[in-house]
Amino acid sequence: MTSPLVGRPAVPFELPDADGRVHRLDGYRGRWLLLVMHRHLF
Amino acid sequence: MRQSEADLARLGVQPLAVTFEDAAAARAYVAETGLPWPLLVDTGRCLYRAYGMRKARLRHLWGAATFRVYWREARLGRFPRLPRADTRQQGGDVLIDPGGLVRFHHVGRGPADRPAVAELLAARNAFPVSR
Repeated sequence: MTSPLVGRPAVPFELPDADGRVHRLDGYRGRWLLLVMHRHLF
Repeated sequence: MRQSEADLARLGVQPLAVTFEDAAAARAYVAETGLPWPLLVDTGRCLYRAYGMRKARLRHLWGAATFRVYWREARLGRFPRLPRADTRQQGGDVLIDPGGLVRFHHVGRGPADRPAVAELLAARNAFPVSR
């Protein structure tokens, strides 16, 4: 079954990476983006 | 997913990993695995909630499918460790197009519930590759 979120605007985010560099959804506008949301890391 | 790095690059897809664990755990994970893309730290779990990733049911955590996944990993020499973080937090995958629309969304019910990479690539391939 297709998720109801497909075709809807992505949720904006502003998050630091492991090195402290901040990433925003807007910063990736114009590119395909794949969010790989992890369960626990180890 | 890591094995599909070349396919994702060919299709112009930028992967961003996300964790709910803290920056120290994220740094340790990147150092140990050599993760080739950024690992975002979402300790508030805002993105998880926004994309419907909540607490996994116990039957999805400890079902036969989970043991099959761990067995397959062990045969590759990757043995599970005692987790230090919330084992019930669900994960998943979200593919976003250049205009900011969600084109694929999958919530993993448990460790064994990941979308086939082919499924993700098909969602991307439904649109032309821009040069």
